[in-house]
Amino acid sequence: MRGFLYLTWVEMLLFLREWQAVFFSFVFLPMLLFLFGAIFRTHPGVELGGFQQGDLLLPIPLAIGIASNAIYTLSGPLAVYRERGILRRFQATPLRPYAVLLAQGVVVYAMTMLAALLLIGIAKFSFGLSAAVNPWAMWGAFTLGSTALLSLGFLLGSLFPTARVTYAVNSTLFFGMIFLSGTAIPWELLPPFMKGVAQFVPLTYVLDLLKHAWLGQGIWPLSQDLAVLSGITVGGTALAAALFRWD
Amino acid sequence: MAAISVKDLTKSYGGVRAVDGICFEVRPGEIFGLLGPNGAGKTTTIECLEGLRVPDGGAIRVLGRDPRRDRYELHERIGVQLQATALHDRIRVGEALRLFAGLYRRRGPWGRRWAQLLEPLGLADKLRQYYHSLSGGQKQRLHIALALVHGPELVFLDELTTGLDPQARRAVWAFLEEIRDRGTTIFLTTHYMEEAERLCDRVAVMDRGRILALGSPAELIARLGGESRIVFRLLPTSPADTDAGRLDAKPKAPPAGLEGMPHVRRVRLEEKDGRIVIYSTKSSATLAALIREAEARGWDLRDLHVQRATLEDVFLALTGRELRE
Repeated sequence: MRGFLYLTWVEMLLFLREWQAVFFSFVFLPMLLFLFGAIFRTHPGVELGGFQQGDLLLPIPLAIGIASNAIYTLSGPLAVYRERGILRRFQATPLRPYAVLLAQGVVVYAMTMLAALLLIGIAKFSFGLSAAVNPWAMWGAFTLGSTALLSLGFLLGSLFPTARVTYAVNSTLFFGMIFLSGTAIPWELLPPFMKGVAQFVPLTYVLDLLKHAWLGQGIWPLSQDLAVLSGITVGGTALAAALFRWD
Repeated sequence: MAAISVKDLTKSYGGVRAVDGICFEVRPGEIFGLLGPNGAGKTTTIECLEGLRVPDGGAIRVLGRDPRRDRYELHERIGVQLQATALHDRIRVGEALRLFAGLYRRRGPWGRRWAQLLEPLGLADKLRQYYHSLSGGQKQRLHIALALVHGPELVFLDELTTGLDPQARRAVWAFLEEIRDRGTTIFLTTHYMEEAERLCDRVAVMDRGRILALGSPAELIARLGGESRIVFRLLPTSPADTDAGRLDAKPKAPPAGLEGMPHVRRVRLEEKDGRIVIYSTKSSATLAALIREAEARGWDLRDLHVQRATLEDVFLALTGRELRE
């Protein structure tokens, strides 16, 4: 536990010293929000059904941010550490695999959370948010979505011997998920076959949960989303810790 | 009880026996060195002891524990410096020390003032520097500090002074002796003869996966049977004495007759610089005979000097090869 806390502290420092990850979370994601805002504005026929524009926009950059941070920002450093022999050095200490994984997970979760708060602030002032949302439902949806994707990140960060392989797998998975989950392309526009494929993409459930939370509909009725994402979280984390390779 | 005991340890990589059935014991509180050339199996051995590699066969006990089965408990009590390792580029020296101190429950003699550890290693003014801005030798010394920061009972150091200049090397040796005198057992590997001789209480000479000899440096040298080396160069007197047929070329063999001189154990020619080495149990008598012989035969002795035999000579006698290559 001590080791985990110290490692989390160091990983937090290292995250803040790497401008790429900071840029993505705090500059690129807000830009993405404005981009989707601009796309929506060009469709004057869109029926908002009593919601503000920000309510509908927010889940998309949020889902992209969660997925991207969980997949790239989490597993990338682990692959580099492994390649450079840093993990091997940790292997010779009392640190256990789950502590190494969770330290990364906590940092990525915290940074994504900050990015989410920034997005919410921007959405409120630029696009308007309706007041009906339940902050606990939003937090719950964000957290469960994060832990599910983080556990996929743990797996990606545990399995592959080199950074090159890790990045290749990461990119395939990330873009696959973005396009097959109704995130980059609205769910309503997907043909029936693609909707069938989307059932197997974890991000689909994350986005669904976020949308419902942001529209103030509560997340408890979405038992399928909750079950799938909890299952991925527990199974993915346990598998990653068991298969973790130090070198 | 032995700090480390190894029995019939074997480890192969793709059909090559890197470690071929070695046995030894390390006593508590000693500096024990595994001396051998690159590829002798030293790193494989030390990493099996650290629990980082799984041996193919044999029994290992480190501080009475099995390094694989009890590795988390053992890792709490040992310190490790790996041969090929790194830290995060953007971690500061002080942060790295605090991190590693924080990974262990136990505390070193410096308690929370772990920065004191940097003083004897010559890194005291580097506390705020990023890891990537350190020189190779500074990184190496930081890794030694990280192996010691929690005050381990037993420290493993793999090629600890690689990349260090002679002055830093001596400072590290003095510091390790201090650590040993406080009761820490030190296990190290080296291909550096002077390091083994100067620092180690006992040395195991390793080559091609086997341990060829084990004892204190003085014992190993004494076992050679000749404790002095008489070294000189001989200018050839005729072109026929050299393989290239030129007077400045190196001789191809030591001149005949040297072996028969009093107290001589062995004679050999050092191929790279053409020096002749006579191992003698009584250097004054051998020397007198050598000079008489040189006068009688008109030899021109150059750079004549007498040295104590070293572990280098031990290695040569055991393997027929030189340690440094």
